[in-house]
Amino acid sequence: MKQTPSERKPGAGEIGAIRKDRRGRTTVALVYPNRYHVGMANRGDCLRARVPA
Amino acid sequence: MWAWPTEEIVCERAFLPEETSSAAGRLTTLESGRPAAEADLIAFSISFESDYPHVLQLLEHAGIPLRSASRGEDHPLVIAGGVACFLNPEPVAAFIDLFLIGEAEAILPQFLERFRSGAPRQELLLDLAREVPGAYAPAFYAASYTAEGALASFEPVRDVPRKIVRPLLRDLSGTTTCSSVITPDTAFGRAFLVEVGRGCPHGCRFCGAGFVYRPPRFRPAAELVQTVRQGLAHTDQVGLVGAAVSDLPGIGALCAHFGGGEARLSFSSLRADALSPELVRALGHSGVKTATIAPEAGSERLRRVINKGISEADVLGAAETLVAHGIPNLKLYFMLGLPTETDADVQAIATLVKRIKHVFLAVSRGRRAIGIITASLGCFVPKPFTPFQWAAMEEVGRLKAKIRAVKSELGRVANVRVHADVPRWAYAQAVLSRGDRRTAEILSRVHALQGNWPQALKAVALNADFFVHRERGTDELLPWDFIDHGVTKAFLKQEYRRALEGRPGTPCGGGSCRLCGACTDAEGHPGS
Ligand code: SF4
Repeated sequence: MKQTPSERKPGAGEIGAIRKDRRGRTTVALVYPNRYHVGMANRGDCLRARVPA
Repeated sequence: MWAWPTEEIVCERAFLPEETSSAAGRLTTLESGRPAAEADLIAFSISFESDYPHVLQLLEHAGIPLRSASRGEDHPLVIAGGVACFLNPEPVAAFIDLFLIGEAEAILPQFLERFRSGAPRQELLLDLAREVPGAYAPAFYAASYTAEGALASFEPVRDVPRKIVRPLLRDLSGTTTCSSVITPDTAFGRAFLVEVGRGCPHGCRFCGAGFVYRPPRFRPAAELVQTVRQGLAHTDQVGLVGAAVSDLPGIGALCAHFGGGEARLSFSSLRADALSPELVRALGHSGVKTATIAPEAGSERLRRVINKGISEADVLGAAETLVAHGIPNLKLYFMLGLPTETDADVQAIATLVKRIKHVFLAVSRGRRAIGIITASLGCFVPKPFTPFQWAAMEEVGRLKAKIRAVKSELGRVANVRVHADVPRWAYAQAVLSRGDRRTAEILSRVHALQGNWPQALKAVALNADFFVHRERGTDELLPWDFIDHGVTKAFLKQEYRRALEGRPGTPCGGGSCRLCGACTDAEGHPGS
């Protein structure tokens, strides 16, 4: 998997992200322990048993 | 990606900050810009062990005490999931309040219902650990060690399950997992991602996903057609993801359906022996410039040891087909340091790459530009829950020598590039993959020393080589043995034996046999 470096601000240009009102709801911070460009690319979990190249 | 039930839950994302200085303010979420520490729940999704040090960085950045034991009522509950934790959560266990081991859909509804009770922290944790399938709270378990340093016992200290049985979705039909957010800035580009299935029937002996996601399950092709349609409303790029995309029943029809014009399809994984004409046509049409083939080993013998199940003819045939369909560049994955590897096997990598290049040139001739072959050399890390879990990792010095050997053979070959892992990093990854809960000491030190591994390893009392370079006895208690992924230890042992004898793997019956332990009968009992 290749990482595409980008100068763009994380989240810019996204389609479908929902920004919800938090009142009276359980709030969850879903944290990806990597930078945005890598974290969002890993969603497919196309995992191989070693460091992704 | 974890799919959260949307009703009454606000889920926002946070990532490792782009700036390297973590002093630049508190960790905030992407959607609302609020401090992550104000959330009720911090949920880490961890795909790779090498991201464990980032977990510590992020907790510090969020202003949350690093150790689970130091958190109180005012702090959010810190939970973690993701395949790295499924394989072995122990190295990072001291920093996580609760792991959710298994597929999210089978866990989250019950987890959230109980979480929302609002009980005091300790009471809540105990309730979650007892009642939620796949929940593992490290604080409720204690480990002891032998004089040599191996694990002697691992026992619950509270009334919680002895074994964590990971739940999984038996049947994927009627469920969809696809992008809810499309972003232009990632490795997949602006693609709508659709998960076609989970698990893989091939049983490559180095691959964790091949064992913990058993049995392999696929979505019905008709349902996938609908999902892809939805995605096409937003983008023409669709990424089909899964551990074994080319094994999807009906993949040919799916490609023929969309590959002709309206969609540009890409695939997260394709096997070199499964490139049907429809598939390659779809791939060529998508405008993909680089295709990946993963022979993993250079010689037929070593591919048998790892049960890759792909012959040299398959590899050469795949290279020819891909280039002939207008995909100019090839990326070839190999691993060094595999069990039983000899110098002849290492030499065979260079030989195979040269043969591939030969085919590549013959097909590329007459095309305007000749592409590049990139050979990527990874360092093998024996992973938990694979037949190689008992194997020792190769020494860093030997790995360096092997990388040099391949590079010197291929370094001056035109149109061929070689890219290699840094063996030192693979060693660190092995520590984080194979360690027990004492690894927390190493992670803390690495964090305090801002990522300086050599210094951290020197500073701790623990000998990390013991986790990495020691072949473990097949009767030894392993740090991850308390997790039950279905596949039995007896099956893995048998596969390990067969590997060392150079014999191929026991084929997966795709749900119809009871050989490895992952499939159960109608009453839920595993096979013998
Ligand atoms: S029990 Fe048989 S069919 Fe089920 S996952 Fe194991 S090998 Fe495959």
